[in-house]
Amino acid sequence: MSKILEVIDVEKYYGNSKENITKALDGISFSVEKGEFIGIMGASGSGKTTLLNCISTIDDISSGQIYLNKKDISKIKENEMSRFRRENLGFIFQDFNLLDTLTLYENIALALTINKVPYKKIKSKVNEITKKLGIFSVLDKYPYQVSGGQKQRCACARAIINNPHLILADEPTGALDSLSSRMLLDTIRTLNTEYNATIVMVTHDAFAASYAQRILFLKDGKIFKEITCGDCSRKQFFNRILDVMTDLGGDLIDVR
Amino acid sequence: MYAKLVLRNAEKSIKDYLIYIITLTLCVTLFYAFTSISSKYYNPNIGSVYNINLLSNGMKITICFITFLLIFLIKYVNNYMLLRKKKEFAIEIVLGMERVTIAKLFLGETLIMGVVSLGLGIILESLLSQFISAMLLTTYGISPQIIWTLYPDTVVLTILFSFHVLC
Repeated sequence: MSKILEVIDVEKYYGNSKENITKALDGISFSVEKGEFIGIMGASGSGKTTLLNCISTIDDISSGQIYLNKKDISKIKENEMSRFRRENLGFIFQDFNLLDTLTLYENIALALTINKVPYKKIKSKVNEITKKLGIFSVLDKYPYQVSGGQKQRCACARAIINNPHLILADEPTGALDSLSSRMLLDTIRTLNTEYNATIVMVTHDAFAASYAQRILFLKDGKIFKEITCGDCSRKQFFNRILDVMTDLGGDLIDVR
Repeated sequence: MYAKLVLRNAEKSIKDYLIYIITLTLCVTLFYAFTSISSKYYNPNIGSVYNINLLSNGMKITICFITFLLIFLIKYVNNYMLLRKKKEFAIEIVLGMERVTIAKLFLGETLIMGVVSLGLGIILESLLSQFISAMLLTTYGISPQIIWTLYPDTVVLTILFSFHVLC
């Protein structure tokens, strides 16, 4: 197994004056193996979204290194950035972020067009992935004509279609009801098992996190605890997550 | 695919940003109307007694002034549009689209809308110039007659103006 993502002693500060500095990330180190499905949990303000933004090249780090596929992402030049993003990263957002002016089919095809995939191959690729994710029948509809769950599964299809090295999901179930959440999490698991995608998912929902194989808990910008599922069932893992969340305290204390 | 995106966006923009089209159309209308009077093809039958050269010269100064105002107006509306499309640009950047491509797409969209406004503006103007013409002729004590003409130099000038403002 090769390491796809290595985060080494990363720090991120907000604000520049000496008195008014916020340490969003405070010396975080971890690594992700190829084909892993990893969850990042923590209370709001613990720095989980900041961490994701740093990994996804949206935000830059104050110190430390992040290696994605053996490449230091803080040293990528501006003009290579878009190429790096489209070849290495796939994104799933809380609020879908599909283009409203395009149909679901075109939204997925756009990702392929951007990656300069030949026109003839696009249709078969899109059809294949959407059949698998169960949105083949709504491909001709516009994002505002389909349900939130279908939109998010379309976003998943868009994220996986270029076979990126890493898929980053920021609260993917945040805007969905419990049934759609469950279907979406099954979808994400499908991406992980059948397409061998490496997934980093940020969430504060213990149920969503229980789908992951390994979970990092963040507190005040530091890694508070790390638990691995191993061979346990999802239910057992879910209970272990709740135990850690109780330990974590903060605004997550009431979940039990 | 990119062409589709541009067309769809323009289509949606025509619905959403009616204000943009209206502003541009009005600008084009006003510009064309005033320029047409100073056109050398414009010679209404008002007899040899009157010389409208003086009027058209005065008009040219006015046109410069109006153009100046219109440029500010259009720049403002353009910025407003950019603000509205911020999210779309963000998505495209995250998907890994090159910045140059994004700029080209937006330019294409703006051009389509510019052309639509230009067409509408020139049609509207033909109507408006009748009124101006009639007004002018009545001042000279001649009963106005309807003449439908398109002044080639004015059309060219208006098109040049529009593209200058848009780019």
